[in-house]
Amino acid sequence: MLIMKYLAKLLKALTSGESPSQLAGGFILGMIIGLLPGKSLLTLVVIILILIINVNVSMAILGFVVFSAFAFFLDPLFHNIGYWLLVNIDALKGMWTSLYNIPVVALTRFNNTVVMGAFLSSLVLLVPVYLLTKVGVVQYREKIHERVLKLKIVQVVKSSKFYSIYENVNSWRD
Amino acid sequence: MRWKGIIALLVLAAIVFVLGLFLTDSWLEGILEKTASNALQAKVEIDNLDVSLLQLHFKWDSLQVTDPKDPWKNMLTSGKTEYDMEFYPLLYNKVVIDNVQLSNVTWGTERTTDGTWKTKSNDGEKKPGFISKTIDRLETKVSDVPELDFSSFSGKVNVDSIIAILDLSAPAKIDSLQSGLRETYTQWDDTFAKTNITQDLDDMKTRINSINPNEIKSVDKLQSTLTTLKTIQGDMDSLKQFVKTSKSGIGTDIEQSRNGLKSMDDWVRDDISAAMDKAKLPDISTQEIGILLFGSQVVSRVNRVLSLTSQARGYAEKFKSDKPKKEKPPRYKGQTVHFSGKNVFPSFWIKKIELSGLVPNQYQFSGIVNDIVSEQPIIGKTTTFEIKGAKANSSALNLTGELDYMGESPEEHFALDASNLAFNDVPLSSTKILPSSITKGAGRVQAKLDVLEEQLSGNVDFTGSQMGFAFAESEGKTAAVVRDVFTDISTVNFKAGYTGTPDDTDFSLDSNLDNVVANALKSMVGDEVDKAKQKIRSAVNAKVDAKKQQVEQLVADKNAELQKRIDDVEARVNEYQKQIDDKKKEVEARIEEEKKNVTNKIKGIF
Repeated sequence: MLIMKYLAKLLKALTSGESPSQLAGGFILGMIIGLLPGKSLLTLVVIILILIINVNVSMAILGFVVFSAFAFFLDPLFHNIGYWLLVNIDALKGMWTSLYNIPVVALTRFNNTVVMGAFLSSLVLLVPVYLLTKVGVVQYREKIHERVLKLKIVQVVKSSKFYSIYENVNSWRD
Repeated sequence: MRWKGIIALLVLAAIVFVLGLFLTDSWLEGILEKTASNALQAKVEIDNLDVSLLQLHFKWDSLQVTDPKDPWKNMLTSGKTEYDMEFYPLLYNKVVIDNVQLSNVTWGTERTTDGTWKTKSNDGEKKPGFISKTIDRLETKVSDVPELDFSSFSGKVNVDSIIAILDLSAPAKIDSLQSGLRETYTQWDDTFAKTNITQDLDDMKTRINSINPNEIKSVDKLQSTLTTLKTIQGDMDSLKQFVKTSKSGIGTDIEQSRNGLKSMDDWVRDDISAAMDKAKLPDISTQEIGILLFGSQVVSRVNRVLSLTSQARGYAEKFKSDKPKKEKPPRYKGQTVHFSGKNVFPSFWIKKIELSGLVPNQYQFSGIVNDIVSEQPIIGKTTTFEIKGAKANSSALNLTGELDYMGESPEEHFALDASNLAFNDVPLSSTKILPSSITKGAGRVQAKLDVLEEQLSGNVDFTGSQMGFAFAESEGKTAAVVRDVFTDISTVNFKAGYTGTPDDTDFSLDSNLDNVVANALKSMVGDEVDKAKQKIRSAVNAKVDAKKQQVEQLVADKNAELQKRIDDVEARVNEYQKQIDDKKKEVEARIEEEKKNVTNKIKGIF
């Protein structure tokens, strides 16, 4: 039921008045949380960002789910990248040592190989994923949305109780 | 900015704070238990953790740390414990604890529940390090000592049946030696026959004797005789070469035949030794009673210290800032890399632990452990501990140690001196004949263990008096003798020594019991053992003596014959060589004489 409710929200968000930038912003922040392993100050900071800036939460959840799956398979790669950055590149050692000596920064667990690898990967992916999502949202609204509405699964979602409640609540908001 | 989001965030924070007030204690208790259990590889249980987050004050009612080797025993328990955590290091994700007070500490108590701890380790197969290799080798050294078991020896040995089932190898080897020798001697006979050396020498003699320089009157004939002598010398040279080669070959073969005779003795000895093994005759003189009795106790204690040392080294290694080795961590866990710096706190630091309590021997003890720290170089101090114990009857215990990970090479030093120790039900060996436990007695133990990078050395000196022993139920004459011996023994002492390098580990234990027990057993079964050994020797010798003598006779006869043959030839060759040389000189003198005569005659004419 929760999934149905979430799918309804997602469909609504894709066609709502929210701008493609807000949707793409939510997606990339979700991506960061998805790629980072849990229990890190970085994760908390990104969650707070999602809550307080105008990005779409449903897209953030989608980003989190999609990239969590990637993270599971890419974990060894993140470990290798993180180890390489933290241990093998002598030129960066000074920077890591300085960061290590700043209060609170250590709580981000930047000195963990998987956190470092995942964070660096999300930074690299940030712009391309943002742009792709933005283009994707525009394309969806223009070309795909009508066809999606005709899909059976969408009909089921739209006919569900949650969707009608959601519609009602949204109409009250407006 | 989304105001609704900020409000939601504040509400969430408030909920977390309120829940934290009620749930922090149990949540942190679980985390502490899990972290400590993973670190020690043994179940750790904390009861009633009470945390004041504002003051960072921790306290609990009791602590139980399971013995990693026995899940039904506690390695350590403690009563009420309190400590404060410093706030500022927490901002660096570091834990610094000022002073931990552990009271009512006990060691080795029984557990009421199973303390097995299973870790989800994904480290892969690690190459065993120096310490784990040393631990394995020490255990093997003790377990490899053969058990004292005379049960199979009744004192009556049926030598014939042993010899019958024993496949003696010496007779066949002696036969083979004999045929080899015969072949060699035949070859020499053929050589002498084919070369016809005697005939050659006779011819040589005739040819030399046929030359009489005094009867030759002309210079031309004398010159011709000199040429003939040179031809004879050429033949003589080839005879001399034959003698030289043959003499060397005969010398080698005679030497080999003598070696063959020596080998026969070795083969016979091997057969006797195999027969002794079959008869299972105990070698009383080399029994390692001390190791059998105390070896496993000493080694298990040394190994426990070594495995703790290995763990401590592992942690110290992890926190070294320069290029940590790449690990294979479990998924999502990663590997934490530590860096150094001027303002850096060590990742973990308990500045001081004051502990007091009771050890199994009813010692009241108290002690201080200083600076349990992840990175010693940051604080510039090593980890040290000193524990002192005392009992009403003036016994004393002093345990000190230092873990030094300041430099490149790790070092650990431990020393123990415990006097007037009381022994009750101390388990000993699991052999059927030797005592199974010490029932009473008092003693002093002085032990030392130093590990310097990959070099280990140490010793244990033990002196016990008024000792009493208990035995497992075993019947038989030997068991009775051993029991009598131990009944008379009241003083026991031993010195154990252990050294280790990456390639080798040595363990020795000398005890006064070795000689006492060996002598008692010798007086009981020694005569029978000696007689049985003599019987076996005689039986094996009887089987091989005739063949041996045959070979010895053959070697003696043929060697003498060969030697005589070559010596005779050599003597004749030398004799004829001298004759040739003499004849040569005579002919040359005659030529000179004839030349002078001719000159004088010519002078007379003119």
